[in-house]
Amino acid sequence: MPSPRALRAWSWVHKWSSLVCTVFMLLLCLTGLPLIFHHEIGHLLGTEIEAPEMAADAPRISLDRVLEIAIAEHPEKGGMYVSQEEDDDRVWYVTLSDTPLSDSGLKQVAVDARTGEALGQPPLDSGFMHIMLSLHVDLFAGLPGTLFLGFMGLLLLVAIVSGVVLYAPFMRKLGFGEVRRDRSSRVRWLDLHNLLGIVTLTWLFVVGATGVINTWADLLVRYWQTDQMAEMVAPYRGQPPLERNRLGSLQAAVSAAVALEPSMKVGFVAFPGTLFTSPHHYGVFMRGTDPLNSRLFKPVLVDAVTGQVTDSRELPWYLTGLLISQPLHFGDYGGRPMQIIWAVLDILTIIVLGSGLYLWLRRGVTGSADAVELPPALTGREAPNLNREVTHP
Amino acid sequence: MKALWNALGPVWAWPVVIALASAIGLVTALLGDGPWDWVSWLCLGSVTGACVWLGWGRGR
Repeated sequence: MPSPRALRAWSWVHKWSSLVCTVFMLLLCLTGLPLIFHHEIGHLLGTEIEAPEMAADAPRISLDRVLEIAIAEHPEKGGMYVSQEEDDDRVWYVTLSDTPLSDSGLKQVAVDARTGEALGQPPLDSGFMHIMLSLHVDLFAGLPGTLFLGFMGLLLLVAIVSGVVLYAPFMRKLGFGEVRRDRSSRVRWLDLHNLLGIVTLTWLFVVGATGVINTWADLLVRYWQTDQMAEMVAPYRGQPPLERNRLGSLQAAVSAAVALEPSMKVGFVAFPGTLFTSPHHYGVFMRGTDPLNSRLFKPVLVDAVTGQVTDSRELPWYLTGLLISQPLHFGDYGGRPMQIIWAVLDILTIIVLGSGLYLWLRRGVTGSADAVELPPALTGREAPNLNREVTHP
Repeated sequence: MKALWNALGPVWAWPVVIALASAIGLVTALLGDGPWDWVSWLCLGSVTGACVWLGWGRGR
């Protein structure tokens, strides 16, 4: 048992780390709830792209054609990314932009990989889910907003750890999970806060920590650019960037990557000059096919003029860590039951946050019968000797 | 050992079991599909179920 002095310090840490981050954590829980079900909600709203049923082995059209079809919808823009959902290779999602590094004015066109039909344009910067995602990821404030939320997430982790330290002194007189329903509402909510907090502990810590890691995604990719990517494209250093109209065949680049890694599938292709590749290469990001490796990517750099593979390396540990942390944050790796569990735990977290706030707002209720329920070290109303039994009323 | 249990057991036994079940549930679904998912649902589902039951279910 920590000393009374230490407990008071932990109590101070728990109070302030929670108070500062609670409003933002409530926002993240509320906006995260629909994000767990973004595919289902997209389906209901009719914004989800649905490919018509065809024979599974229907021939695929060339990616160069796919790109032409997408650009025909937005002739003033050029290719930025081409991607496929992990579990659906019938649709190509082509992201178009004004310049390779644009972060606004992006358009996405979904193209049927078999017929070449333009299936729709998933809205990238409007709609309910966009608002939810922006509030969740960056508060509409770009990288500074993301890093700010990451810092709030760190405070949440501090609040969790300090909450665990405080759990034992509160529970000395209670059985596990006991909620004193016959007592005042403050006592009832204190018990509930302790119960829900300790049960959701591991899940919330993992979701919180992986969320914090995700806020560094942009920085990690930029670091990778100067680290491994710089080594891979060293021979091209000093060459002027490729104009978009001089790019060679996209299909040739993807075919070369598939030939190099025949057991893998194409995850996404980054066009030259974008964040994920060099100014002279198509970055073809291949993913594995088993559950774990389908989350990881292997970049294959293909010369965007000649279509020759120039280099391919395993991702460094920090990007592997980032990619592994994503499913653990999203809860999208165990089917519908896991989504539902994620949603329930999210709601329980809202209750933990709300009850913590309530307990703080009602902190003035001292001198009542409730106060004796708190460990003496925390109320400061008892001599700091924790070995002595506290009299139970 | 007995002294340690007496000191920590009453308060920490269940929280440790729940933390382990959560951790197993979080990791297994990452490693595979089918049975791996089932183990994950069982672990995380019982943690979540226990939470709801203890908080609101019993003693009503």
